[in-house]
Amino acid sequence: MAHTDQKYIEALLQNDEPLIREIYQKWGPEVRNFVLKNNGTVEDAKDIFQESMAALLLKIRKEKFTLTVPLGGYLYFIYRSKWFNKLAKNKKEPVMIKELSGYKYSSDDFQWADETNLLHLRSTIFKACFEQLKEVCQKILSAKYEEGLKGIQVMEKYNIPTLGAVGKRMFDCREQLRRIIIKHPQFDELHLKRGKWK
Amino acid sequence: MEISDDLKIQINQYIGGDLAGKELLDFEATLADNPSLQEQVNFYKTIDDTLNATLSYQKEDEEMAPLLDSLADEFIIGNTSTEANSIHEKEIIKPSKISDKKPMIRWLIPVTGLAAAALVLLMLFPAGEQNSGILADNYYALYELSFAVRGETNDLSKAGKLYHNQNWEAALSIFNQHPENLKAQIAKGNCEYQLKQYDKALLTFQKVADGNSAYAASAAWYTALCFLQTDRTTEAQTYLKKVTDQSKYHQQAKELLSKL
Repeated sequence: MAHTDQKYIEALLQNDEPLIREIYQKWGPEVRNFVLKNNGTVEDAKDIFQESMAALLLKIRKEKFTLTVPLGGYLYFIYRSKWFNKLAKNKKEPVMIKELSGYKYSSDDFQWADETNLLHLRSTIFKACFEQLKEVCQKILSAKYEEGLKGIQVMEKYNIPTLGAVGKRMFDCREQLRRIIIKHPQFDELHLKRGKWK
Repeated sequence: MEISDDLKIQINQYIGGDLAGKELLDFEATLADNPSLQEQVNFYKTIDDTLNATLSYQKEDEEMAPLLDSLADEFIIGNTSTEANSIHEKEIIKPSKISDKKPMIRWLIPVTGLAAAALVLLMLFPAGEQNSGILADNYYALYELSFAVRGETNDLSKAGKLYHNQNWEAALSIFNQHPENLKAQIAKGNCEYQLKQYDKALLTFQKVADGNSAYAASAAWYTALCFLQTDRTTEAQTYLKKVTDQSKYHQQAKELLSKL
């Protein structure tokens, strides 16, 4: 059964301003406290919360999502994990997080937050790599990813002679993208296998 | 491993969900027999799923960005700015980072860190114009802009890309068209600073620093650096004192003040 906070998920999907405002009103001050308590500034708090919202949005758009626990808890584990990673990257000694009181959590919560953050990281890196593709590949793949065009529509739009040629071009462009991705300095953080094909 | 054109087409159909019936069953059997191919196809599927979710919502992201930005200013920063835009700012101060425009002093900076280097420089150049300029260089780090969304339709997004690529003049011309946008103004000041137009940068930063927005402390920091570049130490001190303890520049400002 969906938690009453499911309304916030729907609000994000519908760009419902009053309810989105409530999200910030309820949990904005909390992220501020958390980051200030853990050696950050208010500007860091803003950055980390905005990144967490972007991650959440990506997750709920990608998957049909039913919230079964309070949204605040989910958000907490997303920004907590992001902030932990940020601190860990900048410090040599182990990072100890000072928790906010009031959150009881299970390993599932961590797992969910980690999945969300992994999706967000992949999205950011894939997009950066996508922008490094040759223009012709960006156009063909954008037709699929951005416009949702089917093969036959791509064939007509770009005057490609056959449907098979569209498939082959898409494959080649996707393979170019894969090669850029596996060279990315953060590739190991994406939890993907390089594959044996070069 | 070489992939035939037929297999490429089939993989593309499979990823796009265009295989059905016997064709689908046959292809799945091929994958089951070939773990390496399976791995490759999984990688492509991850790319497709992720980029579908990312790129198909760019327009929505652009529409939402100003709202989310202003809400974050209101409820996290705690001080509402009048501006709204799609740039999500991130300021990173790296005291040990030396401007690329100053190769002549690079050799003076040992890997042991800025503090030691600054001390050496202070001993080499005890007072005067060059000294305060070098101090400013040592403390200056570019305002880093990242994007909540990247869309071709938003010229601030374009300016951000130009800024990221260090195309200062081109970025500047766009930032100039957004005088109401405080973050764009800080980026504009950074372009001017990079172009060594310190007097112009000073005016840009000072306007923001003298206001009450959430960006005043950051702008005060950059204003102080501009004053140092133009050898006005007293004014620099005044603005360094405006860098509040809520700012990430606070420690650097305190440290720099102690050196003036």
